[in-house]
Parts: sequence; C-alpha cells; structure tokens
Amino acid sequence: MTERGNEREWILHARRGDDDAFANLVEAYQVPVYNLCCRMLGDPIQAEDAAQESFLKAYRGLKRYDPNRPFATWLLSIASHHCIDRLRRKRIQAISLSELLPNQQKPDDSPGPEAALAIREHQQAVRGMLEHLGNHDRAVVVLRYWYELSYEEIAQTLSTSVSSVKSRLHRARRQLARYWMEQETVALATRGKCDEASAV
Amino acid sequence: MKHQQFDTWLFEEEALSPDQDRALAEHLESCEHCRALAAAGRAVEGQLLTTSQIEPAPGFTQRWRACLADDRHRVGQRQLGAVLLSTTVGLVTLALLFGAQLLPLLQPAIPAITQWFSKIVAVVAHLNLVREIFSVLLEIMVEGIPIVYRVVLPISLAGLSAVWIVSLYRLSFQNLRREL
Ligand SMILES: [Zn+2]
Repeated sequence: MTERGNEREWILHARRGDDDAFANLVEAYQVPVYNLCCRMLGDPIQAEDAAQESFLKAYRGLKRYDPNRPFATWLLSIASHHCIDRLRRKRIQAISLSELLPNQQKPDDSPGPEAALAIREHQQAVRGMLEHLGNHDRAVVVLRYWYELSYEEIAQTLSTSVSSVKSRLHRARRQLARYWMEQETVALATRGKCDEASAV
Repeated sequence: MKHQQFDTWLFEEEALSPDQDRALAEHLESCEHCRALAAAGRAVEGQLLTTSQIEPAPGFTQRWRACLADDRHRVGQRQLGAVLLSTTVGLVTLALLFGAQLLPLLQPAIPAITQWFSKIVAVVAHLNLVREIFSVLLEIMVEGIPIVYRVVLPISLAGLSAVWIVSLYRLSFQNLRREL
C-alpha cells in the first residue's frame, strides 16, 4: 500500500477511536510538528509539550478534518494556532538553541567538531532572526521556508487571507534583512576593535 | 526616488513591472545602502533555505500515548465532578420545589404539631426532675449508710432475687409436668 493510502487508512481507523492507528500518524508527522513548535517557541521543552498537545487536539478533533485537504497542513494548522496561543499567553522568550542541538542531527550524519560548530552557528543565527519577528510573521516564515507551502496553503493553515500572508512575508523578509545588516555591522565593528587591540 | 520605495521593491512578493525592475537595477548600481540590504536579504534567504528540521527526542510516540492516557483520566475526573455537581444541584432544587409545594398542605396541621412538640418538651422536663430527685435521695442514702451495709445490702438483695427467680422457674416447671 502507498504511504498516502496508509495515511487514509490510519485516519479512517483513528476516527473510529483506534489509538494505534493515530499513533501511526504521530510517528509519521512527529518531526514536522515538533520542528514547527521549536521554530515558533524557541525552547525544546515547550516545543515537546506543544507538539504533544497539538497531536491530542488533532485526535480529539479528527471528526472535523476534511479528507480533501492534505493531512499535513491540517496538523500544521493546529500546531501553528496552538503555538501562537501559547506565545500570546506566556510571551515566551526564546532560550538558547544550543539545547536543541543534541536532537538536531540524524545519527547517521555525525559531523566532526568543526561541522558541528558550523551547524550550531547557523542554527543560532536562524534563532536570532526568528526571535525578532512577531508571532504571526514568524509562523508565515516558518511555513514558507521549512514546509515550502504556497501562499494559499499558508493562508488556509493560519486561517487568514492570501494578501495578509504576502504582506506579512514581505514585512518579515525586510525586517530579517535589516537585522542581518545590523548584525554584520556589529560583527565588523567588533573585529575592527580586536584588530586595533592586537596591533597595539 | 527615495530609498524606501526601492527597499519595498527589494522584498516584493509580487513580480515587478519591467519599468520598476529597470529603475531598481539602476538604483542598486548607485546606492550602496540598498545594495547591502539586497545582499542581506539573499543571505537570510540562504540561511532559511539551508536549515534542517529539528527532530524530537526518541520515543515521541510512546510519550504521546502516555499523554493520551493522562488526558483521558483528566477528562474522566472532570466528567465525574460535573455529574456529581449537577446531581446535587438537581436534588437541592427538587427538595426546594417539593418543600414549597408541601408547605401549604402542612399549614392547618401546624398548631397540632406545635402542641405535640410542647408536650414532648414537658415530658422531657418531668423526666429530668424525677432523675434529679432520685440522684439527691441516692446521695443522702449513700452518705447515711455505713460502708459494711453498703457491701452487704446489694449482695443480699442479689441473693434474694436469685432465690426468687429460681422458685418461680421451679413452680412453673412443676405445673407443666403435672399437666403432662
Ligand atoms: Zn537606496
């Protein structure tokens, strides 16, 4: 049976209250849902909690799922709304992404110390950027870049209009570019000071 | 044209018109700030496109099953609480309604009930009085009787009672035998 056929079968059984069938869906979609929560909340513990709750919400609301819609985007929609609600309630400050790194690499691509440092720096840069965006703008960026959803799919996922998605994406990209420029200026200034100090 | 217009065009989601495209290219050639911003935009895009997904710790599905069990337990407790609360509220409401219906029916009987109640109170008061009299008498008797009689008297009373019970028993038994 194809993966898509499996998925349909699992959904059908899960709708009748088969826990094992829904557990198969959890197994299949744990990474995208967890990643979304991590990118949105910036904290692995909060992300785990949010991902688990998103799956519980999905199981409870499975009867409302429209089978004509991709199951992945329906799940991501639940997780996005859940994370935005959490951020609104708690105004979580994203914490160091270094805690995320142990789970980040797959076991088969264990990088050397230099590669690990590069990955760490890369992830830290991304976390720093996302932190500077508002909750909804961050959700749009995450759905666009990590899940490659179309404007229409993002609009459907976040229960908003396509024009709102476009304007949020436009604003977020401009904001991120400005942040990047500022960081580079700061880095250049720090390097300049170091060079002066070493020359003296 | 000012920076702001080009700044907007740089991150435009919709495709620019050929005229806008040309104007932007010309501006980028002459403006270092906008050129740097465009480069920063490309760098950000590169960073976002090359960042892999973060995976949860192993055993996510097992933890989900545990969460599901916890959730069901919580829901069960909440439902039980709701049932208990609604039953209590229902019972209290019914009792109040029933009481309100019964009150007019009981109205004529109220003087009789009050009378009975005062009689019961009077009887209890009398009993209390009798008990007090007896306790006073007992105290006087106990103080007046020497210690030897206080021991001998109950023993002889008990002995006499025993003799009395035995003779009663024998008499009735003999009568029964004679009849047979
Ligand atoms: Zn300019």
